Amino acid sequence: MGRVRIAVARLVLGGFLPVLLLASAIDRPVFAADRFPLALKDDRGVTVRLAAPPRRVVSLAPSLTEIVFLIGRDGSLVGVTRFCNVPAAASGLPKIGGVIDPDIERIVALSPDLVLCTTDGNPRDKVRALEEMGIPCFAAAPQDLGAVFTAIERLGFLLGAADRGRAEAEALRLRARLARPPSGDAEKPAVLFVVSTEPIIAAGEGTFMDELVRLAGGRNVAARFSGRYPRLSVEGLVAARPDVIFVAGMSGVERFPSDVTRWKEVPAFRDGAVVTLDGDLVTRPGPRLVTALERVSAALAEWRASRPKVPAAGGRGER
Amino acid sequence: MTPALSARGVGFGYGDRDILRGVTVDLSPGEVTILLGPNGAGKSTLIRILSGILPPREGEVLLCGRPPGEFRRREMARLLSVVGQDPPVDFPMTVAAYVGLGRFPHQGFFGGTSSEDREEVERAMERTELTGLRDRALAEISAGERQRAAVARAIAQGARVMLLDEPTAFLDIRHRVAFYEIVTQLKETSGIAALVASHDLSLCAEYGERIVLLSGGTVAAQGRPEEVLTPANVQAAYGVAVACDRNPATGSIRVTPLRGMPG
Amino acid sequence: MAGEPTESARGGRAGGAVTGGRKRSGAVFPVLAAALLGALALSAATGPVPISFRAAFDAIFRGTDDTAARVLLSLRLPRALLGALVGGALASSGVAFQALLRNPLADPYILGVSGGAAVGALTVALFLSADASPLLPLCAFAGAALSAMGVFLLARRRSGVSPERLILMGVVVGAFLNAVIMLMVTLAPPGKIPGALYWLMGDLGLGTPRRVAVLFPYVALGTVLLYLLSRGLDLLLLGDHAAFQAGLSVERVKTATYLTASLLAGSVVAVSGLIGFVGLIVPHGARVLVGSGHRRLLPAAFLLGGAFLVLSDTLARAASPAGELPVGAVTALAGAPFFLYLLRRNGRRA
Repeated sequence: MGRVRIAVARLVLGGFLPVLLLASAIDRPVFAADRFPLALKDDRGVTVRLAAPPRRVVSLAPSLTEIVFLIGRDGSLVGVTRFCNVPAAASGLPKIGGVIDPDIERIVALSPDLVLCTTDGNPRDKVRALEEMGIPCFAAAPQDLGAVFTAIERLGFLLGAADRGRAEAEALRLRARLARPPSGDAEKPAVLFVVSTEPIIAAGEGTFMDELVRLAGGRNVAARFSGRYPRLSVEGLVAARPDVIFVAGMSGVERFPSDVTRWKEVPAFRDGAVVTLDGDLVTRPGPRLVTALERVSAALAEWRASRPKVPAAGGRGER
Repeated sequence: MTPALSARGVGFGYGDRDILRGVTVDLSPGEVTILLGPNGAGKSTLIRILSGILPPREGEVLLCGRPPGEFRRREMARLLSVVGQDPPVDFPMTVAAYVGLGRFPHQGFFGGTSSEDREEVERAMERTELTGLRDRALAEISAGERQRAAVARAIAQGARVMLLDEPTAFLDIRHRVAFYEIVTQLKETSGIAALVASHDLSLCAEYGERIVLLSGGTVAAQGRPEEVLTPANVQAAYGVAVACDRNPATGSIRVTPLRGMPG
Repeated sequence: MAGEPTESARGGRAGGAVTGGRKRSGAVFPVLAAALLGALALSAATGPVPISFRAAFDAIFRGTDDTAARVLLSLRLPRALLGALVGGALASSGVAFQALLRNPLADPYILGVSGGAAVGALTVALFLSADASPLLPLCAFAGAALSAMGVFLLARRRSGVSPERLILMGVVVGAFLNAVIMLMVTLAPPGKIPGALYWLMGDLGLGTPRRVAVLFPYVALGTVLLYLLSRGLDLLLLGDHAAFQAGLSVERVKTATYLTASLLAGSVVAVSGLIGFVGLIVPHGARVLVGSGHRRLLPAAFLLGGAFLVLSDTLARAASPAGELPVGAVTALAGAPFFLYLLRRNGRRA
């Protein structure tokens, strides 16, 4: 009896495990090796088929350009938008227009065999026009940090650099993990992230900035408003009393005017806890989002370090 | 006696197109002059020149012996008033308010409303039988009543000379008669000099003491109705064959068109 | 003597000619003034920072300096006062333009003011550095003045300025400036667009005591000048020829009206962006209340416009879950039904 049981168990396990592996392979493509010809579904649900590694790639978004450079496939880039400025080498590439206004003719003139686009900004009808001309378009539009890492892996697979893609994504995942504060009863500062100081436009729920704040252990005061970019009055800012304010400078240095910073009731102004970040860093769903996380985390850690020490019991996460 | 308003050899035109040539007209106090003429003869242009809006290219206009340019606006408005076509209906304005605007030359921008102003407005509305409509908006009353309001405003203005530019154009016979009766009353009681530009050949013969027949920009004939309203003159000016006789009931000249297409 | 002017027309005011106004117009001005004061009080009482009556009292009469006091005195009250000034100025300017153009659909922006102000403001907002933002009101005003002047000069002929030609030139210049604006927004660095768009939609949030103090003389001067021109505006409604023959120096009055009304609109736009609807509809609402005589219409429109805008702004701040709504959206959304009601009620009362 016992021997039969063991035999059955071995059979079941022996057969089950491969089935499990196979099943997992079916619902998540294996990025272990480059496999051409390949078929991959993009973020729109469109299946893109490539017979060979693409050699002429056009990118329609700065974040995608950054990812291509990251995985070492910049050699295949033949066209980028005029906003693709990182790394510096990208600005030397031929331009095909902007994000919301790419020039179809210029793209076609470059004879690309793959176009990387995003559903957050590229006009849908232009992408469709390219596809109708026989140019495969792959849409990647990560909505949070985790999705950015997955996008890096997928693009690696797509561009014939699957291993490199996976490695880079792992490295970034590690950095992100390290950038987060140790969990526990770490204090949660009230944080305000603004993209404009005059008028005050904050980043609300659903934005990358909101996610960065949460991951870094802060509390986004603008999250209670509906809408992704709510506008605040000066009084609204004062009422929220943020401990730390991040300014995502969209155009050079952005400062709050002096009649806003004089409100010393606001801890961020009183303690000078206003941090300026490059706007591109926090709005592009690319590898540098992790850099942004590190900066935000560092600022919040500094804030925690400067707090007066309080005996552990009690938990001061609320305000 | 010096004419209240006169035009001497007035000419006007645009570019090389003449609209008026050598027009000489005198308006005397206590007299109603009718300005007749076909469309395009230059009646409205003449009225604009007489009222000082357009300067004549040749000749001169004299108001109480002086050219209009010498008067200040308000001063001139105290001497001469003009009744044109319909008053405005785009904005809500009561009859009383509208008639009251006629007192502007006497008040200026900053003057208050004196009791004399109020009296003149009341009297003007009485004369034109508008007292019952004083609080109605101009848009709500009939075209005939609006025309009376325009006349009332000119009366309230208290000017000695009144120019009326085809004011009965859209009115029915009842309102036309009423209009001419008012003008006649005014000239008799206030001694104003009135010039009425009109199309109404028979009615004007009834009420006008002098007729000026304007045709093609010149004065074709001028004088008493029987002198001006002849078949020859009417044919030459209007291109219509007519018969002119005296109306046995009223004694005034009567103009009757003869049948047949105008030549 | 037949006919008796209504008592209200005779009452102490140096009213114009006998107006035979509405029977209840004697009570209108106190009611409008009360409405404006009420709106100001409501606006001062509304906002995210809680301010108790006690705190407000102390702030005003005892000069306390806590947060509540400072929010009340340097944020809320200036904003409310700004709203009153802006609403009143827009309404007065609207009244003047409607008389000048003899067109009930005219508003303060119709003759190039809005396009010019927008181009001026956008130039600063989009292309100069953020530190230059104090220049914004100045450039907006300059833009408004230049385009209004341009429209006037283009429309002028030897025979004077006719309303039809003014409107035509206003439309042409406006279309041109709109194209310039579109061009600017397209070429602008992407991050700067939201701020510029909010400005274009009208923004009382820039109400500081300093801005109120700067705006006040312009509004005071402009409204007083227009009031002095009241009779002239009444006569302009008759038509240029009729007004001339009634004794008005028509061209002088038209020029003065145009300049003053443009000054009012331009200075307001410079401070608070393009707030629409007020200048178009408040004059009509005021006419329903006090009639067409400008001596009464101008003050009534000022009070009504001020109260209306302050209330709209209060609503925009209080009712919005998404942060602040642009006040220009609220004036139209909330205002349209209200004025529709007002106008229909007047129409039914033939």
